[in-house]
Amino acid sequence: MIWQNPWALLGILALGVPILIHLLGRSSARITRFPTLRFVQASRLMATRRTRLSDLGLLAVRMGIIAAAVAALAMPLLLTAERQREGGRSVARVIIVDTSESMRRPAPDGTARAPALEIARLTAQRLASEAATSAIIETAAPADALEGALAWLATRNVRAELVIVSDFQVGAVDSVDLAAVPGDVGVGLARIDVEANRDTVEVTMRQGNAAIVARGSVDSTRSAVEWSLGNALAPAGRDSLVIIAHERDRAEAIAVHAAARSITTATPATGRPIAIVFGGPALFPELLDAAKPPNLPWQGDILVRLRSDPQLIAAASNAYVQDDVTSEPGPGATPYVSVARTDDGFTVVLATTGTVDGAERLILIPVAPAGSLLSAAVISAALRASSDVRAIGEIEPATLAEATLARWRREPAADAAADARGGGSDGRWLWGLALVLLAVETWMRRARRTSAAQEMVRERAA
Amino acid sequence: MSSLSPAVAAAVDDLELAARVVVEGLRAGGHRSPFHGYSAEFQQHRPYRAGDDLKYLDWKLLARTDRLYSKQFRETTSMSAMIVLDASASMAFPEDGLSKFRYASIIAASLAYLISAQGDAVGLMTMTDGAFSYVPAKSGRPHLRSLIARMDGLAPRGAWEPERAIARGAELLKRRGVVVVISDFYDAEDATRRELRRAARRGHDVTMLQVMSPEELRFSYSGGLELEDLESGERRLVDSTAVQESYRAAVAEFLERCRTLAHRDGVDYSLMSTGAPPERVLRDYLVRRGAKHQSGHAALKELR
Repeated sequence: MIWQNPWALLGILALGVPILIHLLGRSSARITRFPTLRFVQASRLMATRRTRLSDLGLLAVRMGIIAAAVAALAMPLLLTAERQREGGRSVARVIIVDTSESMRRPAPDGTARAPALEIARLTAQRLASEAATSAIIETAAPADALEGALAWLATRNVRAELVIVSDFQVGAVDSVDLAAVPGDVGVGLARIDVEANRDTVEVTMRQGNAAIVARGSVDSTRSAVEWSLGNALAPAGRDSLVIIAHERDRAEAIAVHAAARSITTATPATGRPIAIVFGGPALFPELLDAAKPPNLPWQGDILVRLRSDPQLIAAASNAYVQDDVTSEPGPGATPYVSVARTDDGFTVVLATTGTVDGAERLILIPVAPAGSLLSAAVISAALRASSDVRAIGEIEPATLAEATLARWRREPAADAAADARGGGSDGRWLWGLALVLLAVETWMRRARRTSAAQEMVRERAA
Repeated sequence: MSSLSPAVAAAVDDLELAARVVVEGLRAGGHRSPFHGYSAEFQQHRPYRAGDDLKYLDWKLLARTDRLYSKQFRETTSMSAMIVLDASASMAFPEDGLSKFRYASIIAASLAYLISAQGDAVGLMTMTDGAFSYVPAKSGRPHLRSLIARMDGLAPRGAWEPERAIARGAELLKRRGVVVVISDFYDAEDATRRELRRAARRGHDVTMLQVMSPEELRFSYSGGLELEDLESGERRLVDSTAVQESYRAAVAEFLERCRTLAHRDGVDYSLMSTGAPPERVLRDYLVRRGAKHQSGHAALKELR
């Protein structure tokens, strides 16, 4: 049960009023004028006045009236399972799933030793199914995904909630990151426990065709990293990244692709197919007619990384706008998502999804000449964003304390919640109870009066 | 004529009417006034006849003449009666219905009516707000109406000094007479007794009529209540159930004390409850009083 107006509970102090009335008000309740008091013993009178309450039943009913009224004013709401489900369905929810290396370790209590990531994904799907509308973003950098997640939530007219499913290694997200979340957006932090890392961790990075390997060893007090040159890496699979360009731009596109590969250390992961289309949407109508907005978790991860990629941001800020594709695509009105903008706010990189080369791919469209710096930055950023290389930070053994997470959690805005529930509370039942008790109290008072009158009549008759 | 129930007595505003109803009821029952003066004067001698009471035989004349003569007496005019009525605030109880004062007024008016009807003089003495209010003892119907009107205009309030009222009432009777005090006798118990005894010793026929209501006799209240003294205004909170037993015992002791001391002082005493019809109460009282004075009464009747 929750109290929507908890200050009203201070009214419970009013329970003392009927007690005082019963203790002090008795002197004026039944005054009987009598010929003489000479035969009435004085000692018993004092004891009577100080210790005894009269009409305990009536007192209890009166206190019940006040208690019911105070509770009703506090607007209680009984959170039944049904109501919680109803409340959840009125939420637009973004679930950010941490896919970092630490989440690939097994959960400590899993009998099948399933990776924590699998548990996180199941959790995310459950949370998504309980919301009116939802989006799941899988990313190795949850903090970087916040901006995009909030932008998506801002387009919804229901109460909004952001949920991060992670093992919450130190550095995964911090209070500064969460400070950017608006106050009316709820914050949910679902921890997935993982086994402590006791093994040596290897992180391999690519430099051209060479591999640089960092081996980290961790104990409870310190970590050590050893760098070495690894074996030559195989070229990235042809399915991972596809470049599509108009005939006239093809040479420039190939050159830019080669340049981008030479400056990045990341290798695109298989299972995350990307296509980069040069020439704008107008040149490939048959390809892009069937385009849909990005909606797979890994696509969200890549978009998050692209939006926070410093190289791409720098290249986009001063990019030359070639076509009149400058406005932010509206929610639901277009399959395109803005990825990068100029300093003036013009969109220069769009994202969508479609079938290219026989696979469902995330399609990136730079609105710039194929040979431009922006095009090279897009390819380079796409390579990095689609890579699943492990970061050095994954060696970090410490996780955020549960108390810290509890402090960061919060419910969506209350007024929106009330609207979602139909604006009601269970106070009406308490008002009803107070009215019933009031009727009982009136009946009791009248019954006592009638009884006293009848007693007087009997005395007279006798 | 039907008897006057307490409820009817409370409803009848005309005190004279109420008194007449009571007295006519008494007459219909064959009751006569037991109030008689002591002034039976010698009238003549007549020869003794068998059956004459020997106490009326003139022994001195027998000694001188050796003949038997009985003395014949003539009942002289009037007996004087003074009704002393308590009009203190305690007599206003109960405040709804027939109060003790109203009941006492009906009894007093009935007695006055009864006494006046047999040609005797009757007066009224009371005290309101510390001042005497009295009507001298006279006979005659206009006087009776004046007395009842005065009584009707009284309202119980404040306290009274019963010893002063009784003493003054007894003084106002020029010769030996009847003094009837109607009160609850709550006030100045010792001083009241002293004055009653003094009046009796001066030769007055003194009567105490103690008027009480059923509520103050039984104290059958329940639960807590706050009692306010009608005369002093003092208030006390009581658990009526808890004090009921001790109260009843104290009241019974008080009434018994009044009765015993009155008997010891040669004062007629009668307890009257306002719950009983005034006619019946008065009849019972008159019957008891009549039985007590039967010998003298019979003698007077014989001589008439």
